[in-house]
Amino acid sequence: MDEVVTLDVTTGVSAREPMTAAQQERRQRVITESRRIEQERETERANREVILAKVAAATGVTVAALKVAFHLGGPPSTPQRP
Amino acid sequence: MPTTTYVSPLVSVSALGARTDAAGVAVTDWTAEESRLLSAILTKGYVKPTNAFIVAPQTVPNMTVKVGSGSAKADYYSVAGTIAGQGNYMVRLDVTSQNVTIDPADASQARTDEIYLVVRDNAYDLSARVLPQIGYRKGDLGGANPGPDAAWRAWELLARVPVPANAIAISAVTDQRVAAGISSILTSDVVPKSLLTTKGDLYVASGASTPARVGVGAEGQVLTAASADASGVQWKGGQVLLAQITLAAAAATISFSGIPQTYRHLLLVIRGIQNGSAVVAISGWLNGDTTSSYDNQFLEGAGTGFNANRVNSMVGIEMGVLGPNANGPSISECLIPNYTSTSQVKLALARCAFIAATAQLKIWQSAGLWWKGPTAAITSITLTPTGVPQFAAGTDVSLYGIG
Repeated sequence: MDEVVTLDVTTGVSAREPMTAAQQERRQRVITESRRIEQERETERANREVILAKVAAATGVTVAALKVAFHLGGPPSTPQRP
Repeated sequence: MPTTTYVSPLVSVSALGARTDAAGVAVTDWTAEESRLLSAILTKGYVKPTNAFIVAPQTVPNMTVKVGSGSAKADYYSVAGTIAGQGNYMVRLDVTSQNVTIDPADASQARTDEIYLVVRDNAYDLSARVLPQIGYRKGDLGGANPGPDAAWRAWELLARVPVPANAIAISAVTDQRVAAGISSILTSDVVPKSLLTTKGDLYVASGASTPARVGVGAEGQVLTAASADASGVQWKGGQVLLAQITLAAAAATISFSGIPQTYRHLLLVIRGIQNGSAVVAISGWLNGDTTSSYDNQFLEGAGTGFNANRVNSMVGIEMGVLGPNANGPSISECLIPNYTSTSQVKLALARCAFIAATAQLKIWQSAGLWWKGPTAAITSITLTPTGVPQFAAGTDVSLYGIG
């Protein structure tokens, strides 16, 4: 069961208690909202890849180079650790 | 008319230029030069111990009082002369105590007697002697305090002894001794320790040659120059750890309540660990408001790329990020300025370092807005991961008050 840790800053009293149904509902809303936003971001990323592929085909510039040029997540500019 | 009776215990005195005992014989274990130096420094009164030459009532023998601390050669008293140039006499009681017999009580009237420490010095009082004595002054029946003998030139009042009518014993005395001090010509350049009254007090100057006390500030405050303040300095600002939660076991949410309203800003520092494998943000609810009352704008940097987005009407402010459990803790901090305002919108500024995957160190920043907040001071903050994973054991969240 999910638990809640609370600390009253004024009194210093701390507690660990099972989540109430209302708290569970609130947390679920956060999770649901996060999933929705992440899905929107994923859709944006997918659309971006399609656009980049079309631009690459039309210009001859690679997708990786386009990503670097437009700060869209190309390879690191410094060598990676071994 | 009050009368005087002398009692001569074994007492030593160091007069100016002389040191003798009660018989006028030189005392060999007391350096006169050191004594004269002390006489110049000390004002009149007991030097040590605090009960030196103290007068105490006693029932045996009847109608007597006892003078002395109870330790031989331990009582020192500075007796001031009254003639210009006479100086002070250092007197030592060489016996443990000395009894003084009080005259019998009157059958119908009370009186008040007095016990003095007297130094009789021929150079000033023509007493033909240089010795200290205990002077017993018997008061008039029903009259005022007898006061010192008119012939004395160096004396100190030790105690007053009430003698009720028909008394057969002395049951109480009133201590009249004073503590010796340092002469004012020396203390004028000394800062008294009594200026400090409380743990943490500081000596400062409110002006040239003007010492002043500055009380300690609140926990975590720092001492700052403050020209407008009378003392020139002031305790203010600083960063105070208000609360810290370190999880011993996983928890879905972490909450701080009862946040004091005595600081200017709040700072959350999160060393976060989750028990899942996906990157998730840490959502924060203010004052328990879980409605869609928050806007967020984030900016994430990874390698040469960045990602940004603004999402309005969310159910919390994004105050940090948790990388996958396998990549260790993530570090987030979130500043909430002006959190006690009841008239201004509440903004939060968060940033985080986390490892999204192997060799993928990322930085994430977010601006959060609680648009229901303009009329509410922040009194509680609740944190929860924005995904199924929970905060794992070892997660440590510190809440600081700033300013």
